Amino acid sequence: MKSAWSFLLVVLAVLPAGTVRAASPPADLGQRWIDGYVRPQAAALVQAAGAVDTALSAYCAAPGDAAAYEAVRTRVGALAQAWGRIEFLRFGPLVEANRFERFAFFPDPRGLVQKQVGALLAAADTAVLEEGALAARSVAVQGLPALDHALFATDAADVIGRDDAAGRYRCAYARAVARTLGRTAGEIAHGWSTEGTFAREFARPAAGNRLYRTPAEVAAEGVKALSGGIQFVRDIKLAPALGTGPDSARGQRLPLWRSGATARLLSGTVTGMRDFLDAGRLGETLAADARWVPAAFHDEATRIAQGLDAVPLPLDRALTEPEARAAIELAMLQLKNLQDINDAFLAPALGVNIGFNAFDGD
Amino acid sequence: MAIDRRGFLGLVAAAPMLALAAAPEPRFLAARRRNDRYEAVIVDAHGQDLRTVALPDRGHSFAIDAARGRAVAFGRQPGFFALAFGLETGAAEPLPLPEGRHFFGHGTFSADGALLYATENAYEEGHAVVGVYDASRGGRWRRIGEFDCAGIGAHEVVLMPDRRTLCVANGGILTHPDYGKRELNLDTMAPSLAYVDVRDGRVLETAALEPALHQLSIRHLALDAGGAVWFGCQYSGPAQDRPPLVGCHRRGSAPRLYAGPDDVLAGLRNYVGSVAADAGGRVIATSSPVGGLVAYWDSASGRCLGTTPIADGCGIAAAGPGRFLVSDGHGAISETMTAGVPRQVRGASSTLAWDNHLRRTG
Repeated sequence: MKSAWSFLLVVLAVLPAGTVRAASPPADLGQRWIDGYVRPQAAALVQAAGAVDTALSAYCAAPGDAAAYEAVRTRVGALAQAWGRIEFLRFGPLVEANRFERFAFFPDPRGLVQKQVGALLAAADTAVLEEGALAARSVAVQGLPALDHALFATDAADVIGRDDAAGRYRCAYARAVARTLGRTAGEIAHGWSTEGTFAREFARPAAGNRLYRTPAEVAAEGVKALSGGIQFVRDIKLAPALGTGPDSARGQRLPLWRSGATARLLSGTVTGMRDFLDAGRLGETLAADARWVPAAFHDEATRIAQGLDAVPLPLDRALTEPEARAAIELAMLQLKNLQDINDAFLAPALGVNIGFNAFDGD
Repeated sequence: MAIDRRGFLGLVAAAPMLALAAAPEPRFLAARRRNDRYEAVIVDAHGQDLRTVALPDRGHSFAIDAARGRAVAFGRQPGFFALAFGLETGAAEPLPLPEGRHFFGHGTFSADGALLYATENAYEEGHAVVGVYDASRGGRWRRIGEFDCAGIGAHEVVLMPDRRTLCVANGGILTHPDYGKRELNLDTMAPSLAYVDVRDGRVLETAALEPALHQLSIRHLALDAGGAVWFGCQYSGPAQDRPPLVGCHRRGSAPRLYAGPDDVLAGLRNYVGSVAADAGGRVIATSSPVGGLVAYWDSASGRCLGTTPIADGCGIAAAGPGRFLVSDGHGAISETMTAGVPRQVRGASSTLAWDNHLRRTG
């Protein structure tokens, strides 16, 4: 694995940015992305949220059952992965109505999830358990991090296992969160469906559209989403937790560390970005000297995801174990490389030029 | 873009006739990236370098004390440096920065030049302050206190014509330096303008937009001939929304927003990066590097006067009555009017990118 990665670094080193020729993106690029990737993933997200609720219903009926608890953990991990596979598409249906924040409020440097979920559990407010009520509450109490906290905080299994009022409330609250996640996922799926204006414009850019008038604008949205998605994994999720060494690592800064779903979330995003790009089938339309770019992205993303999946410990603990930590540090370098492939090669190959000021405004 | 030529000429004629012949050649200040280095640069009206000052990191805007021939460059947020320097000498001196604060990138001097005010993020507490620095001779830029500015994510600050009130643009976006410029409160954003009495730090008045526009971040400011505050906004909501981006506020009244014609509003792409008044304070210019467009507004009526396309154009400053200098991310500087083709006074360069702001030094 390492030698292949070194080879790619060499390739990048001898090919300065801008050496690829630009080609027009395919006219149906948005349609390819929607049909080949976004819609199936949105449907999978809805399904994964439903599976958490089903597992919770079994666990809440048998609150001390360790196997049922682990089944919930597995389902939460699968939901985290399904979310990872869609969260980098941070435009359109994901940003409308604060859906991104509602699904997974992160980063949370001020610990709002812990504070607000803690307060809600202490108050045992039954109003939030009513159908649809949670969606109108703070984003911190209705998403994946809230589920992670309510079900997998240090004392969670004990509280639920006691099967008293507090335990039953916590289980009911977790189910309400799972159902709210299902609703939000449903809204995202609907936003990307044929009925949504957004998806129609993305699939068929045209002069009269409000948002996407040319295939180039669709391509730019996709390339920016990939760039932002990589940055989110590397700079927002991993870097603040990594610290400068095992002694300064802060595993509790990682998303979903309590449930141990962090690696699945991250590898979900990386494989998701890979599969999204693949669904565009760009190889055939790029200039001859740029056809290596999507393949290089694919291979590097695969290596990153495999590396993350192979870490033998939950990531928060891996940060302080030298050998496991090295795998995460390698992933950091590979993510930087993936960003270079995207920004310095894929973007110009598709004729996407994001200005110095426009790229990162202020 | 059509323009009412008679109206424009009337505006120019109405502008106070400054002693143009006797006035010294105007000079401008901007931050830029040259190769991989960051610097502050003083240029003449032809965009030619007169002096450069090395910056430790990417710069943003400046406080300028023309009477005493000095300026302070602020780091781009999260900015961990501010550098005072002589406009003629270039001799530089760093400002101190207290624990738990970083610069937002903007500041202004007091009318007598004895104090410097800088917008800062109290990031652990999660609110904005105006840091107050001793700018007197021998004061060594000691930080002598701070004012609360009744908001989050303060950005530009200007001194009002009464010389004792600051107007602060509270962008409303919560950030923490561990996560760069990542928005942490998109769901609860509440931007505002705050007027602060410099004598005691009292917040005299705040002005907010209607609740439906709570994701419209108020960021950049300029004063018109009548002393009203013009502001430019950046929208953090879905890209398909089209909120107005430019507004005007007078103390004691509600802010007025100006959308302009549909094609202009669409062309600004939900983003204004810089606001400037012309030499007479009758024309307000707003730049959008995202849309590659500068739009001009009649400060008396709020009517859109015209536009100039400039790719990645962001820095903007008065060049004369009805005339502006615009710097861009491709290294060029252009002179523009409210109509017609921009005249490039300095050509593009592959090694140079002008950052967000261009300021006239006197």
